[in-house]
Amino acid sequence: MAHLMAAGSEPPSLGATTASVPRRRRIPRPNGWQILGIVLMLVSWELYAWHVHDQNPRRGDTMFPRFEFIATKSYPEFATFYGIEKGMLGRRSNYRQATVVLVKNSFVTAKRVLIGAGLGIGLGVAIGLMVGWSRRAREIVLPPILLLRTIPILALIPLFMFWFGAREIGILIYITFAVFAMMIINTLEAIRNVSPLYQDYARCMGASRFQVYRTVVTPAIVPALAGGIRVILGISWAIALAGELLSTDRGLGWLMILSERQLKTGSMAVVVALFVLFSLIVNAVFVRVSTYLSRWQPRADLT
Amino acid sequence: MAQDTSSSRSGTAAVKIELADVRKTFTTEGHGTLDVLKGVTAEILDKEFVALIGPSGCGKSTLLNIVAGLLAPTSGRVLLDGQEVRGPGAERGMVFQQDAILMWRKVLGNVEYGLELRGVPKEERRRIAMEYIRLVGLEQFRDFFPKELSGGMRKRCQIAAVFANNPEVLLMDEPFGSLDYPTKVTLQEEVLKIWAREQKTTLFVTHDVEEALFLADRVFVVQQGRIATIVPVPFARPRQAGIRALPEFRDLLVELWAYLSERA
Repeated sequence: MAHLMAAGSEPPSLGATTASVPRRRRIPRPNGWQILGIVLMLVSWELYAWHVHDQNPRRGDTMFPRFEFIATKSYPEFATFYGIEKGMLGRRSNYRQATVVLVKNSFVTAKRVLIGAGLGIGLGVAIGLMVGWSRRAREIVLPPILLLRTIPILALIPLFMFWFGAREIGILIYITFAVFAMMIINTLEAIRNVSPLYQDYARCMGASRFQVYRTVVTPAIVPALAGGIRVILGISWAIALAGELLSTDRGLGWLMILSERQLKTGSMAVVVALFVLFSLIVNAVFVRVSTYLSRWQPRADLT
Repeated sequence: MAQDTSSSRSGTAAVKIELADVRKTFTTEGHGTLDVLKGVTAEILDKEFVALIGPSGCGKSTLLNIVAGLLAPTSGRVLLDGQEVRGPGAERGMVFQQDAILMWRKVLGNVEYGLELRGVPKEERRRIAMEYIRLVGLEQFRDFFPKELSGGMRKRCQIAAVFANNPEVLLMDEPFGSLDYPTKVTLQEEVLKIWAREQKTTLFVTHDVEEALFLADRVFVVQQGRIATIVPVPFARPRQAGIRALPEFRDLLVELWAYLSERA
């Protein structure tokens, strides 16, 4: 089709082309085999949990909880933390209070992730663009950033605890910093990968250095940035969790550490499931956004 | 700077581009230096269509890049209307061999690009862009992204974008090298059509002798970094596709092939 279109001296009809070129990319849904993979994983968990339970009926669910135990025992036990911010405790086991506790703490963590990642991404892209603009700025700014990046982000948690304690600003700065460090590298790498052909072309069209930057470099890096942001958003949940594990008194990570201290494996599984759920939601939303932003790019398959 | 477009071609013999002993030496890693251009001196007249042909590696693309201002000559000078070329500029439009097209802009946005850079008001630049989009037959595709076009259509879009920017000099670097034969022939005719209308001084690099003879007023044969010979093309304009079958055309073709095949 494309060949015939190119060869004919007459431009082909609009209808013929729209039929051969899918203009809107559908986000693929998981097929049966992919779902089967997930089901197999869950079934394996359950089978092993039953095995552990048979070996040790009294303690089995503490070590490796069955789904039934998670749903009927672990989940409602989050009610214990109901009203803890007012210095009270909730019931030992109650679905409604447990749900309130989980939703409230989910919101706390989601807010931290979105604010921290949003600021980190915004700063990373903005400073990356500014630094990428000038060779001198790059020479000054890049080495310290590369150095900072080699510090394992988890190793900074004690330092942040020392500086900020359990204050909200501490964990926000922590997430922002971690995301920023990843994002600026991502941005500079994307800038470096812009084809020199685009820049030569723009200069021949009369673009000034600044115009090349504004009309070529900035739009050209969008798909690369979108790819980076997608990965970083995923990691930022883990960073938030790590920060909350050690230095806050609210949020999913905090529920996680309390569960761990009380040897409640099932409760930990509930928190993990929530993290998985939120990561998937954020990813699904972002894939839509980035598919739209990268729609001009050949082979922009984001799944 | 402004070019007098009303004067007829035959009447003007003004030199548009002057190449004065242009040399270019590349320093390669581990293989010493490479003299790609060994002193090119030539004059290209105003509104003249000159084709540069030569075997690959002869330096013809390097020469074009130097005229475009994308490369600086090691020594020698390129003069445009008597002014030395220092860097690229909108008065020298370049059609690249590759898909030099902004992939994130639709056809219309691409053709408007140069005008946008110059701050031409929106309605004005839309009007001009649409004129050239129509000229290359892409009006139905103005809202398509380049990836949705065929290779030939992308090339048309590039040509429209460069012409819409109204350069004084047109530089074309094997623009149709990657296209299939029918598309290539069609585009050659379209370029001649637009060229006849706009009368721009054109430097056209190609390794396709037939293409050079069909398009150009003069053919510069580049060999080993020098202009080996200059062949005037006698055919009257407007040229029809059929001139390729003329015996004179075939004779010139054979003569030029001889230059391309001998490599020492």
